[in-house]
Amino acid sequence: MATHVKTTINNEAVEFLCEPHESLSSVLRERLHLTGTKEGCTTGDCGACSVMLDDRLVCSCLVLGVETEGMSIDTVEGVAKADKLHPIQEKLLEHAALQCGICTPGIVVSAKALLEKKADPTEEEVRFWLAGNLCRCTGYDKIIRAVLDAASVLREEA
Amino acid sequence: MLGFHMVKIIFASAMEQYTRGEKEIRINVTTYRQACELLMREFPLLNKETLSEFSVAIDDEIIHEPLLESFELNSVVFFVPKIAAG
Amino acid sequence: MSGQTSSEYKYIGTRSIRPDGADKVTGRANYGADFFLPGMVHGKILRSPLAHAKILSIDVSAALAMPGVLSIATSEDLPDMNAGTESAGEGEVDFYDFSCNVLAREKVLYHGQAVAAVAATSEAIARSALDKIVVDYEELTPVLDLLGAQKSDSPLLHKNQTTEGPKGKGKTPSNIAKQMMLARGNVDEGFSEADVVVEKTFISPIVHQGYIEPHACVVRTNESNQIDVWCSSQGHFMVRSFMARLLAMDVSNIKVTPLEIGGGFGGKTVIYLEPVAAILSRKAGRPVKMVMDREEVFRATGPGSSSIVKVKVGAKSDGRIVAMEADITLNAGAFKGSPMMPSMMCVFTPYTCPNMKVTGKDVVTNTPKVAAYRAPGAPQSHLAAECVVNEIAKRLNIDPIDLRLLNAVDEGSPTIYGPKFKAIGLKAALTEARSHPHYASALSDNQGRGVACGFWFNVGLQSSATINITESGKAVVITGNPDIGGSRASMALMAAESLGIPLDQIKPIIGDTESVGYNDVTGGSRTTFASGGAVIKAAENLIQDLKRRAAKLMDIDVELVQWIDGQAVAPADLDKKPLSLARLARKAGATGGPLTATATQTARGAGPSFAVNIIDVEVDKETGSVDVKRVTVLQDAGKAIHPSYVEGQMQGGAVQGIGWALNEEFVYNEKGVMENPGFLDYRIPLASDLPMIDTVIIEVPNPGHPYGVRGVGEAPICPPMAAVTSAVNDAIGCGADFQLTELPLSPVKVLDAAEKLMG
Ligand code: FES
Ligand code: FES
Repeated sequence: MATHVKTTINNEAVEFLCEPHESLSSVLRERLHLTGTKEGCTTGDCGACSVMLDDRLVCSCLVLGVETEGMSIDTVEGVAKADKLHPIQEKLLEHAALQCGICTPGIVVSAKALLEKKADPTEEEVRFWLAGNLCRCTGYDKIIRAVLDAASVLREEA
Repeated sequence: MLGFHMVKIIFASAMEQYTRGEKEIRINVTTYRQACELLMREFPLLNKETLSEFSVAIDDEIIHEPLLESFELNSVVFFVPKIAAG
Repeated sequence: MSGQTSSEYKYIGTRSIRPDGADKVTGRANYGADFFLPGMVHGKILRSPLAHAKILSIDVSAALAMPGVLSIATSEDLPDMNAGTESAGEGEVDFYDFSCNVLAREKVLYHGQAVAAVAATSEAIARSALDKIVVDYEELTPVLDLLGAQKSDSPLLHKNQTTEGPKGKGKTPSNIAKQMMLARGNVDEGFSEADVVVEKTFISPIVHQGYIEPHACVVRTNESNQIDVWCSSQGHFMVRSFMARLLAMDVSNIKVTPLEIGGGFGGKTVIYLEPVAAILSRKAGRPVKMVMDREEVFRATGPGSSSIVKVKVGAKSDGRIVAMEADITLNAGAFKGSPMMPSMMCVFTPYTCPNMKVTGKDVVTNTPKVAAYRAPGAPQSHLAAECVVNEIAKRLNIDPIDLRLLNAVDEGSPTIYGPKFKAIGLKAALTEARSHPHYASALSDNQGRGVACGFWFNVGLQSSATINITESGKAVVITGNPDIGGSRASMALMAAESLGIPLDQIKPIIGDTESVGYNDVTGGSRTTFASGGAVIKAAENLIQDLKRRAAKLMDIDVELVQWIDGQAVAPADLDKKPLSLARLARKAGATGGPLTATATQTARGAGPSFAVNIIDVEVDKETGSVDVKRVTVLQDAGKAIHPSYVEGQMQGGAVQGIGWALNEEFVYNEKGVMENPGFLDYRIPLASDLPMIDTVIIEVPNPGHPYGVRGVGEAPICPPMAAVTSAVNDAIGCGADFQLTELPLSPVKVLDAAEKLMG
């Protein structure tokens, strides 16, 4: 039996029907076609499906759609504002920190969560925070540099 | 020897099963196509299919699709396994 | 960065923002699994629970009767195939084997092999229908061990397979599919001259390319036997031709639209799902979507070969290497065709040594059929060769880079496979490495350093490009290679440079199989080189046309018109205003119609690439765990079109090699079941495992390309396994006798070796 779920996604009220076994990543992708959230494993190991759930960073493949009743979900689609990329997105591009780009949405969401918690992280802190986001293409070097650079931009803006 | 076009052909080791173990041969041809015809006559076990499994390096330039290539006087031609890859 | 500067170019060599970037950082870009069609249903694959068995019968009736199940496919639905290899564009393919790998016939040859498939209205129904398919198997003993497989009493995977060797086909069936030899000079004489000889065997496990995006496709068939495919791959033309061959159709009945690809590294140069989805769709009359889960990716898609490589090297006391011998055994998986040949051709290629002998074996086992993995076969053989060369250096008390410089190939050096090198950058890379501050830095306790070099050929192959000029004078550049790591950016740079117009006037796109000419796969490090070459040619054709049209408008002779900085310019004394591209585009109707140009080529002159690594590690002597402390990677890239993406290839390749050296491995139980089919247990490197990866791009231009481009994607994975292994052996104090010779260098192995050394 499908369940009726009411949520807020990227600040808009969204209602959907889903089966009790369906993961949030599956609901976002298959039902709502918000395919910015990627699935690399569906077992919580790759971080491609990272979203914010009531301001907490989660792997959406490990959350059930029905669990999100009344909650607010922020996905990568909500990160850029009105044609303006978020500094993290800009810096990832400037540093050429994506090759295939499949890990990138997860990294955007995850790095944003970090910088909201900690405006001035060290390289090591960025590395450990992003340890849940696998990237097979880049060797991480440029991703780490981009996030550190974005942090400094955000500090200046603040 | 004017008018002669001696070309040195060196086989890939994977071809030696068709060339009675010969490793190289000097032949008098001006094009890849002529070379193939002559080689198939000389070594009946060699056929078009087999030959097409190899690139050739003509004077150190590797050519993947050599069908229409011609040779210089004294060209050195290697058959090289085709490389494609990841 | 060093080498030549890029001052002669305006756009090439700059670090522009990739044109597809905004779509990729915002989540708008559509990858393989992001595509939907109305009425689409879901396909799932039933996979073999056994590693080796005969299929006695398959009963699909109960599954087919389930509500929501629309169609079922088995190998009966695939056309018959003849066994035997044929040359398929870029290499040899046996389509009978290929077909069996898509859907098993007669036998299953590895755990996880596809046996049947179901399409249903939901994924959940499809999954439960798989449980209703009854397959009757006769279980056989799995062949898992690469050495055991070669024994004459080993169970056989293929009863008709005999060994192809230099002397023809063997008589008796064997799991050794192929056996080859390459040689030059006389190794026995070489070794007799040597003052020092080192011989050692190195072993590496099955590993996976580990792309983050699982394989996925949507296939729609229609009543007039047309098939539309949307999928991610390393080449949509490859998908089209393989599908056509496997389904016995003409390529013109199949259209493949490329979606963004989430990593491939060689693993997406073959197909698995698409032919199955086509059968399911044809039978169901609905579009079918198929997406693998991660477990399926590990169990049934292209791993890289496991290997046993014995290397023997002899040198004079002054460091001159006088003999090199290698015996390479690579695992092909369930069907013949490991990258044995390139592995043999690469192993000693960095060295001038006059006496070499390399033998190779291609062996089948009951494990998944291997696929290309970045410089296929080369990392495995370089692991052994480079470690042994490092041991030689230690024995002779010569710096390992100096030893390599003394023996390194250069322009004019012959290769073991025949031709001589043109301009190459190995010596330049080694020299830079020698003087790099990293190399002079001190090591602390429990730290070790390793250096290694590596080689990859790079290829050219076929490419097409079209440039359409919009009415407003912008250039839409269409190529046919999926953009796996920033190739749109490099196409745009080369187009801007050739046409002399600003980068923001260029829109690079990837055409489907019907809107641009044929292109070989994105692989072999060829895209920037070969498809870039087609773009440059198309731009040249366009400029010829533009000059003709400008001459008409200016009413002067076409010979007088020059194309400078994006404008048609007449000689100053004629007093004609230059005509910009935008202006010529507006006048296109009057000068002969829309502006468009196409070029195709079979690219030749691919420039080989050499990479050099310096890697420092620290070993925790309590736990045996290895921490990578510092990594410097140097590579001859030819001209770096977009230096950031060149560095990215170097860094990514190095880290894949580091993972291969330290963590990655398929773990099988005795039944042939992989026990770690997930990213938790098959552990690829994490951000927290690594330091920054310093890069040095060496630019020795490739004489075979207008801008001097070489391929860069594959060479970077060749040295790191040997560099890490040498560094770990150094850190535990092995001196000139490496104890750790089997990858991955897991903590247990490192601890064991360290304890043994301490006595
Ligand atoms: S898909 Fe959720 S962590 Fe990989
Ligand atoms: S860019 Fe490909 S996985 Fe990160």
